[in-house]
Parts: sequence; C-alpha cells; structure tokens
Amino acid sequence: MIDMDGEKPIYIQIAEWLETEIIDGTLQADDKVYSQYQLAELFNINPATAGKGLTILLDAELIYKKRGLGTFVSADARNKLLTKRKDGTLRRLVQELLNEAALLGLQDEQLIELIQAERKERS
Amino acid sequence: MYSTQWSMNELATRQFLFKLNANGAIFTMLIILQILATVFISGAFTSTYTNDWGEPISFDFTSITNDSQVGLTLFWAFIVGFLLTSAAQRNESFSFVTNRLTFQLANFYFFCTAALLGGVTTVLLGSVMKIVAMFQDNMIIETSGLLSSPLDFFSRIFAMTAYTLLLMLVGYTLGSLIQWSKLFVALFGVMWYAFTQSTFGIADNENSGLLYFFHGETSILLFTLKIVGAIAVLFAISFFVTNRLEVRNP
Amino acid sequence: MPVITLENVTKRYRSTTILDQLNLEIRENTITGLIGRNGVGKTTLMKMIAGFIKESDGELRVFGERPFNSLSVSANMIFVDDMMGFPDAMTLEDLLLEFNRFYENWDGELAKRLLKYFRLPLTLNHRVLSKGKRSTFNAIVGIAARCPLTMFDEPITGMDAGARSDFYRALLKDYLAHPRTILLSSHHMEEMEDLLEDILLIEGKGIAFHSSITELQEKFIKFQGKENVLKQYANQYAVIHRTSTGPLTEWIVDNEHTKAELTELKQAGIRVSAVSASEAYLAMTGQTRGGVDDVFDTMEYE
Repeated sequence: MIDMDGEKPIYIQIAEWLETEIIDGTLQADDKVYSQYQLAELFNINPATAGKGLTILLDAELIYKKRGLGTFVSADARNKLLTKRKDGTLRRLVQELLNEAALLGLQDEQLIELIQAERKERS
Repeated sequence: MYSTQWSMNELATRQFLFKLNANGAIFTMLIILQILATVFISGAFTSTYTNDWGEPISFDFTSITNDSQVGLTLFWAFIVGFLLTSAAQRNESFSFVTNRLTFQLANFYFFCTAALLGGVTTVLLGSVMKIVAMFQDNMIIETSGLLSSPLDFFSRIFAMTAYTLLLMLVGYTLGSLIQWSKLFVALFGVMWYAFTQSTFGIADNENSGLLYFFHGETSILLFTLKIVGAIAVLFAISFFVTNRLEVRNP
Repeated sequence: MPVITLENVTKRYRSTTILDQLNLEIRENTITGLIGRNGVGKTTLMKMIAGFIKESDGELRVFGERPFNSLSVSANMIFVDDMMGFPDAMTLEDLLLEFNRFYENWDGELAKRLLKYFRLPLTLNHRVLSKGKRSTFNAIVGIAARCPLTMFDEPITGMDAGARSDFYRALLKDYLAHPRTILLSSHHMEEMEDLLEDILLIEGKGIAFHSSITELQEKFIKFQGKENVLKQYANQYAVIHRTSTGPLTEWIVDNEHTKAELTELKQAGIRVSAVSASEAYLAMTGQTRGGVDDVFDTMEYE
C-alpha cells in the first residue's frame, strides 16, 4: 500500500476507521468485528469493497477469523496499532519538517539547534 | 442459479390476462360502434311492393337486417388486429415476462375472446332490432331467431365470430408485415386495388372472388375448415415476422 | 459460474458494426457498472443480454441459454430503462398487480412502501408522471422484482439529487439482503461508484476495461502542485491527464513508481493522492474536466 497524503481509496478509509475503533477501545480484544455486509450498509458501499478493507486488517493480523463465526480483534491489535501510528505520525511530521527546512535552506545542525531551543523553553 | 421456470402455456395465459386488463378500451370501442350502428344507421330497409294489377291489397314489406352492425364489427376487428401490432403494444408486453411466441399466443387468445364477443353481440343486436320492429309493426316473420330455429341462430353466431376472428388476423398480419418493413404499405396499396377489382368487379357473377370462397360455402364443416385454414396461414405468416422482431428499439 | 458469457459477440445494423467481437464473463451476484461515452453501445449490449435484440455473430449465453426468445431468461431478468412501456389504461396499482403476476420473487410490500416514500400515489397513471417520477417508478419496480439478473440502463434520468442517492441506497440495501447479479449503466459515475464491485468500460466497439473498481482506481495516481515544479517530472511519468485550476495544477499519471520517487515528489511539495474510480474512468476516456482547454490553447497559438 502506498503512503498517500491526499484522498485515499474507500477501502483504505474503512481499514483506518476500524483501526481507530480498536485504538479508542470501541472494539476490544476478541470482540466481534463488523461483517463486510454491515460495513457495506454502514458506509453505503459495495460489500466487496468493504471486504477489501477487512482484508487489510487480516493481513496485518490485527483481526482473526473464526470459521463460521466471523472475524474478531486480535489480542495484541491495539499495541500493534499504537506503535504503528506513533511511527507513522511522527515520521510524517519529520518529513514535513525536512521539506520545510529544505524550502528555507536550513541545515540539519540548525534544526537541532531549534529543537534544543524549544526544549529549553519548555523546561 | 435461477429459479423461475414458466411453461409456454402458463405464460401465454398470463400475458393474455394482462392484455385483457390493458386493452379494455378495445371493447368499449366495439360497444360504441354497435350503438352508433343501431341508432344512426337504420338497419331496416323498407321496400314497398304494390301489386300491378289492382288496388285492393298492397304490402309494405320491411326486411330487417343488421348489415350495418356486421360491417362495423368487421371494420372494428380489422382495426383491433392492426392495433395489436404497434410498437407500444410490444413494449408493454416485453415490460413483463414473455418471448415472441407467448406474445403471439396471447394476442391470439385475445383475438378469440374479442371475436366471440363481437360475434355474439352483433347477432344479438339483430334480435334486438327485431323486437324493436315488432313494437313498431304489428307482425313479424321471424327467420332465424333463437326460439324459431336455435341451430340457425347459433350457426349465425359461429359464422360471425369466425369472420371477426379472420378479419382480426388479416389486420394483425398486415400490421406485422408493415412493422417489419414499411415497404409493405405500398405493396398493400397495390394488393387492395387488385382485390377490390377482382372481388367486386367480378362480383356480378356472384360465385367467384375471395369473399365468395367463405360466404358461398353452404356446408358448415367446410366453412369451418376454410376459416381455420385461413387463420392458420395468417397466424404462420404473422409469427414468421413477429418471431424475429427486435423490441424496445427506438 | 458466470451468469453472462459472451464469446466473440458482434452486433451489426446493416453495414454498421456497433459492438465488435466482445468476450466477457459476468460473475454471479456482482454489481457491475457499465460505463462508456454516449453511443458506444452500452444499451445495445444490455438489450442483447435481455433478449430484446439479437446478436449478429458469436455466442451469447445468459444463465446458460441464448437469451433471444428464451422464456427462462425473460422470467429471471428485468431490464429497466425509460423505454419501459405501460398501458395508458392502468394505474400504478394495477401495474404492481401485473408485476406480481409475472415475477416469482416480486415483493409487492416493498414496492408499495418505496412508492409511498418517493411520493408516487398508487392511483396515478404511468403516463401522467413526470420524467423523473417515471424513472423512479421504473427503478422501484426493478428493485422489487428481485430478479436474479437485474439491469438498469440510465435509471436516474430526470431524478433529482435526493431521489438519486435514495435509489442507490435502496438498491444497495435490497442487494445486501437479497444478492443478485446487477448491471448498471449511468453517465453519473461518481454517484454510483461506491455501489459497484466491477467496472465494465466499453470503448471503440469493444471492452476497454473489465475488472474490479479498486483495480481501476489503482491504475492511476494524482499529483497536485505548482506547474513549474510538476514539469520537472514530465519525462518521468506518463501523464494521462492534466488540469489546472488557479495556481494549482493536477496531473493524473500511471501508477508506476517507486517509494523513493514518491518521497522525492513529496519533498518537492507535491501532494500525492488516489484517484476516484470516476476520475480514473474520465482520464481513461479522455473526458476529464479542462480537456476542452486544449481546444482553446491551440487556438491562441495560431
């Protein structure tokens, strides 16, 4: 999956929505996850597209399948997601910082100085 | 994978019932035409016979006929046959479940029903006129009433129904051919000219021409055979056309 | 097992070829969007599948049967378009009774409730309905018939925006409860794309694309940024389409790139995003917004 900052395809939006549900605790470990039909109804989309959203979570082992019963939240899903989001969000911020620095012609040393100055002010 | 399986006959019947519901106006048209024929075109032709040699007795001899109703019913039959070939009629049928054979069969059932109604009402109207005449004149010599000669009465209904059905199929076949190709309009113009020339032109000697083929038949069995044969031929021709028509095409 | 199969199917009218040598399989219980510019033969294809018109060449099978004059195809199929004819003498209520007579899975209750919701009185005559209301009635009938093969050809013609989204929602809900194979054509792809599983794009008398809607989306990617910045990458990507609104230029390009390339683009201040299926479709058929600008651009140079 590519990392996009603009509009995302609907099934990725669904995967992210489910991830948020797990992070904020709406879906706890071993809770039953919405079926693709429920998701289709909820988001007004084709069930096959909703299924693709679920597949992303299945592939990342955030949810697991019980034959005939449906899909459920993995025990370590929340932790996995927290790390992923931290890495992802922080990294994106760093990327933006570097882009801005390049625009202003700042060197890395000057950036570090900025960070240190900010730290001092806070302490 | 798919569930519904209809038999040909079941569907033809359902299409026929649908046609009855959809085309009530056709029957209203028949009734209006017959009322018009009865009220405005007098069916009674009065001919006065006065004997040549003396005055003492003279007859006013009025023969009651319902030729005008017969004519209008046959005209109606032709129009009905023609109307049922319209693109609108096809589109309506194909909005529901059908193929071209059930469509054709349903049309045929519809014609049979309409023809029977046309035949019965036309003959009955003849009787009504006799009753009316009875109140006007004092005496009536009945020729073929239900009570005086029931067999004759029913054979009149039968003949009238057969003619009506025949005319419907003529209209239907012509209409189908025209739907198929507009060239038939010109062809029928020519044929009509030839037909009138041959039928009425030679009608003087009374026993030739196409109409005489049916009208001149005295055996009811042969008459039936001739009518059935003609209807079968027309049905086959119209079905040949109907079976390859494309529907819902602008 | 596929519901519809075409093998080298051709449709000609006299010497004009409308559709040329089509090969196609439509899987059971999928919703397929049939798209393409006006007059490419979408309606012709659907009418052949419905058995209304006859294929000129090739093998066409619906439920394993040749549809032209097949009773079982007709009994298990409904084709909704604005040519659907109904007798003048019958009210909407009469028509519902007729549908009940002909379609085994017909849900009269659903039809009545939908008609009520869309404010279509049962006592009305089909002929007196406005264009939008007529489309709505036909569309309702198409849903309530619950045919294993349901086809809608431009069903939303004349409907207002509210009715359109209500129709798609109703179709989706009934499909979720009663899965069936649905073919849907519309010019307004952006309104129906979320509903679709597959896309069938007809272009130049043939099939230009037939696969899942996500696959269509993933064929392309969108760059947004300043024109002069974007231009540095002009040789690197096959630009399918470019538009500029104000200072912002938008490119739709083939989705072929490495992660490093994308990072480079982002560093240069270019926003990278996914395209919607309708944008992908418009790009593929060269009818994106602003395409008409080219006409005027060339004029200026002359």
